[in-house]
Amino acid sequence: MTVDEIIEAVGAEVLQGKGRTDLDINYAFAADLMSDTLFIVARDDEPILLITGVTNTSVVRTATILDIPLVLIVRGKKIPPETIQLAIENEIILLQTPKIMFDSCGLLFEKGMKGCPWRLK
Amino acid sequence: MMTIKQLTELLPIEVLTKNADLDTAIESAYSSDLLSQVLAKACHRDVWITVQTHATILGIASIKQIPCILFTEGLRPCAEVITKAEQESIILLACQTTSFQVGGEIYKLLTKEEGA
Amino acid sequence: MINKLFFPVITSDYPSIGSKALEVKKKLKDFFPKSDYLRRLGVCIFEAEANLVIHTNQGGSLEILVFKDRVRIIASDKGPGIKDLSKALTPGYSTAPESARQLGFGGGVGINNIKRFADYFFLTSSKQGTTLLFEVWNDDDKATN
Repeated sequence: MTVDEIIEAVGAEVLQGKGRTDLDINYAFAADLMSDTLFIVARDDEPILLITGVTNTSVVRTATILDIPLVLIVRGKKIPPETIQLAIENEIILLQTPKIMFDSCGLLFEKGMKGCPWRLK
Repeated sequence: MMTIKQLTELLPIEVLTKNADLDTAIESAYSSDLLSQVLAKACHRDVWITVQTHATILGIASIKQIPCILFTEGLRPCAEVITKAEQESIILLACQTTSFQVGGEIYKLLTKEEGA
Repeated sequence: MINKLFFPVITSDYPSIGSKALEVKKKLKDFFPKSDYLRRLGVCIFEAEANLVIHTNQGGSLEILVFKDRVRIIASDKGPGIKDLSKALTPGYSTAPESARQLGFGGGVGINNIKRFADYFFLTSSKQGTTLLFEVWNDDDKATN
């Protein structure tokens, strides 16, 4: 799915659009615990969408460390300006939707987004 | 709406708790690993999808009357937590796939049921 | 050794978690061009950093030693120590406070993740403090998928 298709599917707002806007993303990962995202370290350079309800700067740092170009923050909470600023600095596209995680995952899944298949040895 | 029995038959989901009432109906799911978020927003007709496996989740499920917790990514709680869940009639389920994947599949099944 | 980096880490400074890991990753981009290596390294340092913020009384430090083919990280603090080392290495077991969990931490897999990703791992702990030493090797044969 393109970034625009993702935005349309979950009714997202673009908090920060500077980054890899030309992406075609096939896989998504949903997590509130940052440690949980780590198994997606093993995926060559496949771009993925990170879906999370956490709004603090660590989300952007996790995404940057893992080379994740696009983050969707669910549950409609207010995002601190520091998070948006860090996303701008690191060119991580940041989207936000008021929908809950389950609905966001479901809507994207119905449009063809797949869950990350990678496993660590 | 569907029963937990249907869910476990249609998807590769394992039941961890013994003597579980699998005819319990669920209407939706709540996917979160943040406990206060679940406390605030989850409902008594939800499957709670999470990777949190420690005993605290049972207290939250009890308070919110959440009938069922689904652990993803092959994670599962220890035997003590499973026993405690059985005592409190909370159904524990587990699957190998990610929260996104199983959440998407459950969403699809529930939407299909609605439309049927 | 090519380079040495040192970072103090302040206890309970949740907004900073990941900042040192990110800084190291950016600094080492030219030394280690392979992205999956930098990701593995970044993840380990992130976890070590998070542990110092979440689990220490007085914070601690991260010492990063960069060699031609590996990076060695020494994470140390002055307490309170890990009560049960075997439990700490059990995935899902966490002693993180609720405040940490609400911010997306405390999943109970931090040390385990480091052990999993690192090529050398050494951990010692007492009430006086904890020292975690690990190395991530830039090894082309390291299979992760």
